[in-house]
Amino acid sequence: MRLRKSIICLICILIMSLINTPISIFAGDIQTISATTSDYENITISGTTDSDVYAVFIKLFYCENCSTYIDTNEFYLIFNSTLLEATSVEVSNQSYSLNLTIDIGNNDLDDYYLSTTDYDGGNQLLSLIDYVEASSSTSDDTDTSDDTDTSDDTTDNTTSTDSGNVEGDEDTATTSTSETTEEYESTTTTTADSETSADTQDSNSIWIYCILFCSSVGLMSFLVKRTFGIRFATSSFMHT
Amino acid sequence: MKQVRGLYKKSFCLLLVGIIMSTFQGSYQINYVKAEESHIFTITEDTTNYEVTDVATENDYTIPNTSNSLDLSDSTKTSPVETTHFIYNNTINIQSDSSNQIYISTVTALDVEDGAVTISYNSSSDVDITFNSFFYDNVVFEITDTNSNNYYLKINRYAIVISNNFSDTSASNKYVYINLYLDKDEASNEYYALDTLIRQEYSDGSHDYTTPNYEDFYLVTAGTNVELARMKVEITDDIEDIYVLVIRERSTVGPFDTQGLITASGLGVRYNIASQTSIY
Repeated sequence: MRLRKSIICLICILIMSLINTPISIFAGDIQTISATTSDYENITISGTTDSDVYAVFIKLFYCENCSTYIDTNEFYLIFNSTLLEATSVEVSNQSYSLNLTIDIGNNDLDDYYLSTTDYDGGNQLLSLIDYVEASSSTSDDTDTSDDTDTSDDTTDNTTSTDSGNVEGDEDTATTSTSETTEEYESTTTTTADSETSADTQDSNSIWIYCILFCSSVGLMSFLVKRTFGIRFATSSFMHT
Repeated sequence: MKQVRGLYKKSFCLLLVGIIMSTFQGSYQINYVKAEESHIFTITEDTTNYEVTDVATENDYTIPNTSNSLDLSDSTKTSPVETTHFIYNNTINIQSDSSNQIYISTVTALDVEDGAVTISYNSSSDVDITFNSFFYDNVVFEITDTNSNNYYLKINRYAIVISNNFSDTSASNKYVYINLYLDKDEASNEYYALDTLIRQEYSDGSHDYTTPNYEDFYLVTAGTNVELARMKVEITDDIEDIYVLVIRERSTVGPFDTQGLITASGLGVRYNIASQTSIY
């Protein structure tokens, strides 16, 4: 009986040890992939690799609602994606970069995702392109049409992902840094609002200036009256 | 009368000597030019591990030679002499014609990162070039001889040879054939994992991607440790160019521990429909 238990325990330990055996990591893996969008046409894809990676293969897909599935259902991505661009770039100093110009049209940018693959036995990474609009910069310029035209100039959104790693044993981390606050649609709709609010602000300031002017005039007249009144009194007293 | 005859005889002799002299000088000049302008280099791939041979039923294209003797005399950086070799044979040997007094001083890979290729100098007329990645499928090399003359050689590396049925007048559709040569073990076990991308560029400037018809996909032995996978894609009249790219992402899932694979850099091997030529 004791022997049987020992054998079962041994088998369990053996199975556990086999399951926990780490998959060997090949040298030369892609570390990160990121996408930076400056407007609705130009995308800069870049990332970093190990020192042993010579080149990476980049694919850009369109996939409606793929953000919902990118981490959970790879088959959904495979069968519901349209390949837009596929090219390879050489790695220089453990980093790579590719500029793409695509016609996004009316699609949402978070419906685009990237795939990178190592050429020589490394790993694969997936990442969404997540476009978020930069906040309008403050300007002294009173021309509000210029102020609100910042959507194409100041956007700087970077999504860096090293999830989707087929190696399976590396740390999965998703970082998303954003200097932006509003989405493109909300910015374009607030353009008209900002103009009306500017008009309201101007009319309010006129009333404030009027009140200040009136109160200043009132104060001045009060001071003048008081001063002359004292002088008159003083002079009449001296004359007497 | 005798004097006149003598004068004729002398003139004839002078003319004859002149002709002989001019002929000799001309032939000498021709030989001299030949010696100056011919700069033969022999480019050979090591076929120890892989050798691609023609498959008997597929004679509508030519497999690139494994060994070439090329005259690099008129080569320039922008117009190098090209040679094409099987991508799995990653070491290419260059030998200069020492009988013609050409000795190699340096070989430099142009427009690639350091470490892309390893260059081994076996002797002053024998150099090995080893490509360290599948990515480098077309690299221009600057060969400098001991007299500081530069020669330019572009080495193309193929896994795909593209052909077509355009000359078949009985065919109802136009097809481009993608003849893919792979390592025998990798091809037999993992061909389903290959991702073949065909970028179609149209006359209006637009492009899209398609995949070949896999019903036409088959594998046959095509040399030493090499198998041929043949696919085809239909060509419509508005297509100007196609780019062919075969990749296989590395997989460690289950028993299928496969290495990554790529058959070309950039967009892939370009095939111009009008000229029916591959551009690496």
